[in-house]
Amino acid sequence: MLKINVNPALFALNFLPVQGELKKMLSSFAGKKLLVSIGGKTPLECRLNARATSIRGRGLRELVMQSGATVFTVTLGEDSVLYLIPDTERRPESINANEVTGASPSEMQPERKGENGKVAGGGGPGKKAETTEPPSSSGTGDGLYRKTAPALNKKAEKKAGRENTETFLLEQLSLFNDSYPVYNKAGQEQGRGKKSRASEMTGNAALHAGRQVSGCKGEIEKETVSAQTGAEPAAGQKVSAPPARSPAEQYRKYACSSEKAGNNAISPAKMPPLKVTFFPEEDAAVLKLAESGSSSPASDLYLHRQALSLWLSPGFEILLSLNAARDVQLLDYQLATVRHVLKNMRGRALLCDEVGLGKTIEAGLIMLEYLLRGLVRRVLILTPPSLVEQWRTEMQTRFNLDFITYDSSAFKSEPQPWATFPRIIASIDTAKREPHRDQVLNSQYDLVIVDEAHHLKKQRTQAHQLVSRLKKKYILLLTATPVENNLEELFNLITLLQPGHLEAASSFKRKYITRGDPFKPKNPENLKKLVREVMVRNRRSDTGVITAKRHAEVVEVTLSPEESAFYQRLTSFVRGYYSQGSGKITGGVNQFVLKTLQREVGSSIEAVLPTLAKIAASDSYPRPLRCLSETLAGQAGNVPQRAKAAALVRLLQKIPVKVLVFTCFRETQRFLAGMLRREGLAVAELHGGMRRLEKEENVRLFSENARVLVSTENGSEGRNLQFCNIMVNYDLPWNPMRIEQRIGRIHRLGQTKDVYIYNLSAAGTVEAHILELLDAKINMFQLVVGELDMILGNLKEKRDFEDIIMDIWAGTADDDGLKASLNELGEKLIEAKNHYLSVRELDDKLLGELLPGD
Amino acid sequence: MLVPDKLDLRSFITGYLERAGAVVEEAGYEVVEALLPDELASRFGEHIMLAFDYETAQENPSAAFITYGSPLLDTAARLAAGYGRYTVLYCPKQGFSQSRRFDREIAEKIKFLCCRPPRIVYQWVADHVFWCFYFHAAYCSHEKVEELLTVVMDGFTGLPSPDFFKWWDKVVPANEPQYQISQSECLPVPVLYKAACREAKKLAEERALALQGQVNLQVAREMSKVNSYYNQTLRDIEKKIAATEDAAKKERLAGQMSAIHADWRRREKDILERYAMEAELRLDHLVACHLPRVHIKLEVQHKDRLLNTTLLYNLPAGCLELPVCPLCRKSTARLVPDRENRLVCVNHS
Repeated sequence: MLKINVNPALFALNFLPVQGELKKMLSSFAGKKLLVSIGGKTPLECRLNARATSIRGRGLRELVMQSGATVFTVTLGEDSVLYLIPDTERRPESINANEVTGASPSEMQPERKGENGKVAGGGGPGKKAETTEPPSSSGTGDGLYRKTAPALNKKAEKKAGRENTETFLLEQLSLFNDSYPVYNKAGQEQGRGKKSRASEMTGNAALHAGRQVSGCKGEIEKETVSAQTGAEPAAGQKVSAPPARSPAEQYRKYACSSEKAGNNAISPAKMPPLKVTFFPEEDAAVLKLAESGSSSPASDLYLHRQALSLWLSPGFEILLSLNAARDVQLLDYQLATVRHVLKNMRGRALLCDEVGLGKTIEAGLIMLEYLLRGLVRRVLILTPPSLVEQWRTEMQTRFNLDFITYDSSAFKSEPQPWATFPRIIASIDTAKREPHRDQVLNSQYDLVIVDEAHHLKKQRTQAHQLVSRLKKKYILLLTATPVENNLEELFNLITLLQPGHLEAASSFKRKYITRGDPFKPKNPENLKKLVREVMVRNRRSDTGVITAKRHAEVVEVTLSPEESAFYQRLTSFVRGYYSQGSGKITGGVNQFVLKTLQREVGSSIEAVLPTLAKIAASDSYPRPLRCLSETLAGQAGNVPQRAKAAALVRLLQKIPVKVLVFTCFRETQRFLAGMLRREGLAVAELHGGMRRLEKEENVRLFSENARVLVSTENGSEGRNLQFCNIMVNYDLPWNPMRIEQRIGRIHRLGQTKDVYIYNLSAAGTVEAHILELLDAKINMFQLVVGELDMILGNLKEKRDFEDIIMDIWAGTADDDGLKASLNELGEKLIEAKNHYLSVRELDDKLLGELLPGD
Repeated sequence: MLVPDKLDLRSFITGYLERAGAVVEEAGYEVVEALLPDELASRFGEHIMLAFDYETAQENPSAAFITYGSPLLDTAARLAAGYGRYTVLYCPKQGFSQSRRFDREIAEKIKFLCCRPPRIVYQWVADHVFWCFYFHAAYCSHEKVEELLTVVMDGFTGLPSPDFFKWWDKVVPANEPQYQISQSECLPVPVLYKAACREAKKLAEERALALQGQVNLQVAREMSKVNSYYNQTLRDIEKKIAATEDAAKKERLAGQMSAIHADWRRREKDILERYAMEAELRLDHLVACHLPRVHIKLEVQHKDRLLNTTLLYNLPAGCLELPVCPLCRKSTARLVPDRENRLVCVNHS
């Protein structure tokens, strides 16, 4: 058997040098392909060059490095495969000529006669081997001189060797832990650079590289047989080396050490000692100022300290975001969750709080902490389409952060929006589709937040694939129901956070899923331990969240004959022009305009008048349409009564305390404010057209003197109105989530009284049917905060709820058809609700077992 | 450790811009307008409008919205950190009276063993400087924790003064000297710096140990995972070796085991290295605090010898400072004469 030293520095050039006896062994393969197997692994296809001085092969370097050895036992198998068995126990210096078994050098090397007829190379029986210069490339080496490094250009060797070795090792180390950032030589994270540890990884890489490149010296080991044995070999004597340690012996050694290591626990003594480093050269600049007396005023010191508060990153036991967040009343469990995710989970967590417990706040605080510490700059929030606006509002009002939404005009007009904007909120449905998908995957994000992450529970879905392939440092998955059908869904979610944390899918199934009962975990203790490292779940019963109840009442309103007639005429007009499922212009009018008209007439005549007037006056519409609009506008102006307004006044007269009146439209809001003032009520107003100071002033007015606040949804965004506990929906948005958001203005943390919601419902209108669906079918107003969103998310219909309603309303010609379609939608909502309830129950049971409250 | 207070972004940015020479004006609610000097204009433009509230930013589309994470805020913080690296503060003038009855306080606080009660020979007030060295400490392990480590050195004695801020924080310091008194001797700043470094090192080590303690659990967890994985892998290979008769296969598997073992050792070492703690201390800024102290020269009789010593009375703190043993350089309340006519602490008697 032959032993060779391998210098890893050579792998900068990606070839294995062939010298001496090895060259002899492989001489018949010169210029041909050669299979090389290292450490018993699958043979690699390599090639021996024509002069049989080097073997090159793709992957050869990596295999040698993975083996961790620099000495190999070489055998040429009968199958013409070259086997290299790593010998990690032997150090290069322990190899000596006595270990070379087989023929003596003279026998192995054919005699070559030089010019003088003498045998060249110093071989030959009885002859003392001489130390000579390195053998030339013509291969006259006598095999007794074993080079540990070829005579390469040292500079190139060092540079290439170190760089490539380091790069390779960095890659290998990054594979060990997906979440562990990889740093380049400058100590910066690859692809990003911010406040990273300067040299730890490179230190580690250098350490590993050091193990590999220790032989990179270009030295020649000069060994003589006589030097080893102390006597000249006798003529013909075979020089036999002591038997090399057999693989079985090696195995036994390793088995012992592995058993020994089996029960080990880290002892502090093994940790490298603490190193404290000072930088006197840098400090000299400050000392120089002191010595020269160049002092700054105290105001500069104050400015400096302020800047430091932005620069310093204290430990996570100090939460910087508490001071930076606005209007956030944190509960203890939320603080604990934020600290836990930052300190122990390192920003990769599954937040599974029950609905309504403030996962958004928790995620926002975690994000803000990272922002304040400079660890995060680019953030991507992926949510269902219905929640995009809600997230944008929350981020602005609570954290004063500007996020751009994917459907904004600025975003759409930018050629590379995903790479340009640092903070984006987008629908996951949009992000996973082309042409966005490629851009999203090519951009790097520091933090990705995925809301309603249970949509990622199946590994083969586009959404899961997208999130899995995103380039991110930190990731938060938010869902109240992580498991719906079986435990494998939990596996898929956790694998997004920490690949390999629950091992491979097959081993997870084998270890943790009970056959026949996909919800019953095997080895629950082990699974519990693993799950708790990545998941946080807070339960309503353990927390002191909103205790105030909701009470809803429908106030039936009968429209006056004129109002009813006008409503019918407008509805016919809309139905006449509406084309189901089409977003394009039909008959000269945009479907969105038709939907707006229908919504406006359900709010008030004052709301629909301006739109009709605009259509009538605009040349972009065809003449028949303009005439029709003008006629309708004229008829609207002649409607004398306002039944809903009268009902509102009667209602307000019965309620002696402060009331918040909501409407969708500015025109309705203006009309109501004026009308209520004429009735003698003290009224405050909020609408989107007001400046911030005006809004603050009106809220203050409402809290003090005014009895009624008439507000649009835009106007009340971000305003604390929980000092009021009574709300009237003058009109109803067609999107139930917007109704939920209205209620959330007063039914929130800090509300001490039960909340009463009055819904004005005019018979025969779309809104009356919506109310029937939401209240009667799914009891929407009694749902816990956040549950409506879960139910709507379970609807198989992927379209916007408003569009579904519009299609049903405008697409059916008669009442029977309308009733049937709405009933069908109602059944779907009930099914969605029941599905949500069953999933919630199962998750409670499963997660209650895996994550008992503590 | 300095804990950051709530930072008002607007006051910070306007403060920085004004300091840098910009002209800053209010342009509305939470909106400021600034004309920048040349060195900043190249970076931000000559004329900028900044909004500090998201709603106001929406109302003023031409204004840049400044919040955490904004590039302008990051740049401003970086540049502002260059100011105020050396500051001098003065204790305000209070009703300092030199004619205090120090003898009673001396008798209560300090014991001169084997001596007659000391006699005050004379006293005088001098201006002393306490040097506050603020080190930016970065503790690097698998995560980085940064904080300011403060070491206060008494310029006169050259000793650290850990209780300095207990009374200095009650003082409202002035930018200019409020009184004229003689300067006391003060050790050179480089000497004090070296002593401060020694002190800072001790503090850093304590803090690092505390942080390390938090990390040990994670280390143990990772090691246990790694060991369990490799043990399992090796056991699997052992089973395969035991199950096969093919020598070549046995050899290959043995080779695999050796590779796995090497990998295992490498992983362990990597984990230990990753969690190892390293502290980097850089002098961030320096504050020289001037305050008056009374020097009280005492005469102490021991047998037939008269020994002299000087005590210090801290006027702003209103307390007599314990003398320092000339041998061990530690404060002591009990002094005893030695053979060389020095008053030393009892440990050296």
